[in-house]
Amino acid sequence: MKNRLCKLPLWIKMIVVVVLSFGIAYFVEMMFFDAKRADETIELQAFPLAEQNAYSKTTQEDILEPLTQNEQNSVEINRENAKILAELNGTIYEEEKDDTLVEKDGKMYRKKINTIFTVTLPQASYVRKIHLQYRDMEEAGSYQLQGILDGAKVFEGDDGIISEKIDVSVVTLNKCIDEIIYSYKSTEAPVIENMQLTVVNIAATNWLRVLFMAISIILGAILLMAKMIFDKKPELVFAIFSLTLGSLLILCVGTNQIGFDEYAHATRAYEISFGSTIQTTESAMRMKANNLPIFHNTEERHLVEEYEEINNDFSWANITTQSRFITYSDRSYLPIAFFIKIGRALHMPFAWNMMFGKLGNLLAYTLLSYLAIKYAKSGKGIIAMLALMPNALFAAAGFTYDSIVNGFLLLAVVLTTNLMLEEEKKITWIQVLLVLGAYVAGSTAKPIYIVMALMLVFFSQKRFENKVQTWGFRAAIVALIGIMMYTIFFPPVSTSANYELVGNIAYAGDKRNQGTSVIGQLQYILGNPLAFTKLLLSSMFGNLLAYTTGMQKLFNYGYLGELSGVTTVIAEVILVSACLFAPKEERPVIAVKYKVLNIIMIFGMSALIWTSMYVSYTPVGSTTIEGVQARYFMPLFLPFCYCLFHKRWNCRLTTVVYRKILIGTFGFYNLYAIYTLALKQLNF
Amino acid sequence: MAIVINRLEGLSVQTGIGVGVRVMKKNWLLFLEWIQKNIVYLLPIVTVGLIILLIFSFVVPKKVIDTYKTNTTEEENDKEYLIPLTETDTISYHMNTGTRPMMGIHIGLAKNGNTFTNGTIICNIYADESKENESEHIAYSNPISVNSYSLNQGEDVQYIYIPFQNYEQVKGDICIVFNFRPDGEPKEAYPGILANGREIKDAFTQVNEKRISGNIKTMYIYTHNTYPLVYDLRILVVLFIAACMTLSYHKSRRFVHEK
Repeated sequence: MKNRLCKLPLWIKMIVVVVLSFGIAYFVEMMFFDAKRADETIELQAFPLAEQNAYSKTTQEDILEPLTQNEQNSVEINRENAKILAELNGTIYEEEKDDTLVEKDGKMYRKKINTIFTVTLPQASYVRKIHLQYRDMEEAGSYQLQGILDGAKVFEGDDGIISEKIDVSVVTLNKCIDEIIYSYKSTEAPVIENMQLTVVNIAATNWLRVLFMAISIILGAILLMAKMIFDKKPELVFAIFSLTLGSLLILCVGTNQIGFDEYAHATRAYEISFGSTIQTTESAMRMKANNLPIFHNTEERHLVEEYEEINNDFSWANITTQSRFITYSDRSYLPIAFFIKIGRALHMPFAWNMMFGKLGNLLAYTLLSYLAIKYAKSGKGIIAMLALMPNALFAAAGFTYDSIVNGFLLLAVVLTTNLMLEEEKKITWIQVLLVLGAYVAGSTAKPIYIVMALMLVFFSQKRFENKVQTWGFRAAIVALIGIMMYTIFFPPVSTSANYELVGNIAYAGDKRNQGTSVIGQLQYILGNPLAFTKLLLSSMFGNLLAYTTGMQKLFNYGYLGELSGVTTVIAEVILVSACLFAPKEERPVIAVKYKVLNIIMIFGMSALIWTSMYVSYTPVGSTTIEGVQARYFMPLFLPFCYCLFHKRWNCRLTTVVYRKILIGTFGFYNLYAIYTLALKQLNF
Repeated sequence: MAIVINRLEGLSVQTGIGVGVRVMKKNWLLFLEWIQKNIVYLLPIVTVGLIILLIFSFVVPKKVIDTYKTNTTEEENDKEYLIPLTETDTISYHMNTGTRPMMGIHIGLAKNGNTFTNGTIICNIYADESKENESEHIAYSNPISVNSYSLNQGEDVQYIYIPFQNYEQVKGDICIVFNFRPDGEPKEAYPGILANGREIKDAFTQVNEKRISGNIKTMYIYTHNTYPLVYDLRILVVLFIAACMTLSYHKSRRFVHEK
């Protein structure tokens, strides 16, 4: 029997594994998640909040709610940007008055009315979910919900929001309670007659959970059984892990905005997908303004997607035009834009169309990383591991150009290292075009990374025909870097948009942060070179220490959250050990000269990244550097790893086991992150 | 690519497609061989071609039009109103274009429900030497641009576009003067220009030479040159120059890289 099974073709085995995985996952869902509990005394009961009786009480009070630091910053930044815009447009700035905003002792507060509803259940019951409904509401309101059992608080929810777009918010409790305290905060007094609270205990199959379990089983089976493809085609293993995990993440997140400035990236990709005449529907308009309702569970998700679909009517879309020419900095959005276009042609609903766009990004990233692993002369396991890093996969499964930057730079570093490993061979024209093309494509969105191409300047003269060609090649590389770096300060005028701002360094500086000015900051640095050097070095090494010790968490899924510091330390130990004790076939040992140059390049690039954020994102003269994120250093991880490989120590692990450990580690990290941060938080 | 074709050939060897794939593969390999054989000429030729294109892109820029919504919306407590423009009225708008020539202007025009067959809005532009807050006369004799807009077109209320003749001269401090020429229209039929209470830096509006508080509603139209291909071409030039530096011009060593 065993022999017969072994003789089956691979594709039949794969189908059997997939079908079995889904079967097991569905069985687990039925048995452990959907089964009715004994203490569920209520199945479905609505409590209209206007009714005042022994079971329902309402009180009201005026409060001053402090604004969060982000909200306060947002108000101040909007004021500053309005001033800049008025100056640019030649109008006189007039501050917009907001009567609900109170400023006291440098802090900002919002005037609000807090309405507290106390609802007593007929009898104590296990409660899965509570639906908070507010029909025909005019503006969103925030709330907090507490569950009480025998006078003791057994549940306290985070601050939630009932969006005026879907009129309902759903809270997942999964607790036994006998009383609910629901406090609703709004700037205007709520219309209590329109408010209702409903206890819902109706079980429903969560298909995303089933999918998650099935994918976990399939990936586990690949890790345990697929020896041959780990040996012969590690790039294929990477592609399977990347596509399944990335797609799962895309499905779990839907249209929620969870990446840094994701709405801006999504908007640009959406606009590019139209060519010259853009049709912006109400849903797209709200996405552009980062104003789409967000969901926290399957019920809310259903309502949000319904809202988006109703408002995705092209018959009353806003029509604008743009240049057909796609500027260099926007080209990284092309995979997303192309897939959005296909999705629209297929008449996909808005939410699915946006998810399909993200799939385009994921495919592009997977393809680039696949090529990097495939064409690496050695060290494929490490490359696959780094390409599966949670931050990298998160970027690939979202609306951002980071995935294209990471993908192309990974490929560029691999091709550069291949050249370093062939010290005796001459460099060919096709190698130059490919490696430089990868550096250029990876740096168009973030030109600062082109500095990494400086490594190519250090190839010795014996790699070329003569001295003139050697120096000509070096000069061309330096010129390329110079041209691309120049665009940071003086972007080329490619289209008519923002003509006044383009090349006008007086307005340069990140408009998301208050008090920024490129000229002001450069003047400050030149005036205080020692103070800035001290700040730069302390920031760089302080952060390096924080990441190394796990005090600062390296792996995160944007606004969804992050993995604990322990995972950072474990991953670092595995990565460094994997470089120091790699099997013979997995050791890309480069010459000492290139290791030293790699270290210098990493240090220089880090200093540049920190300095660029100080110049463009940090308020002038600040004693800290703001805005630097771990993701900016991702392209530098692989060059760092190449510095650690050596020929001395031998590893007893086979290449297959070695690769399984590396790919499995980040595969597991991603599964864990998807479950805790995306599936549980947004789809339970 | 050759590997892919090999596989395709293998898959379809028993079908008619196999023959086609074999021919395609042969042609492709011949093409690659031809490129490799002639790369020492091809790469420099492509590089020179790119340099020529780069120079051409610099010399022949693309002219684009930009719209600046200067005054189209009202602040809180402000209202849009109509300044009547009868045959005897003059509305003048004083502004500064900086160093760039202004190509045209959008103004909010209302026909007051009238249907015009002949009426025309005259829009002359003068170099403005008057100072703000001074009501001195401008020399209305030598306009730098003479323009008109026929009222027999467009909706009752809309932003109309008036392109400026001789627009290269329309720069610096200028005064745009609007008049109505009835051309036989009845006396009670005249248009109006939309305005509001918004103050605009370096600009003010006069009605019959008296400055009003607020301004007429406008959008400025400027033009400028763009160089859409320059960025890509200069990168490609450098990239191909770098690739050229790896070519071997010694006949004996020309194919050493292939081995």
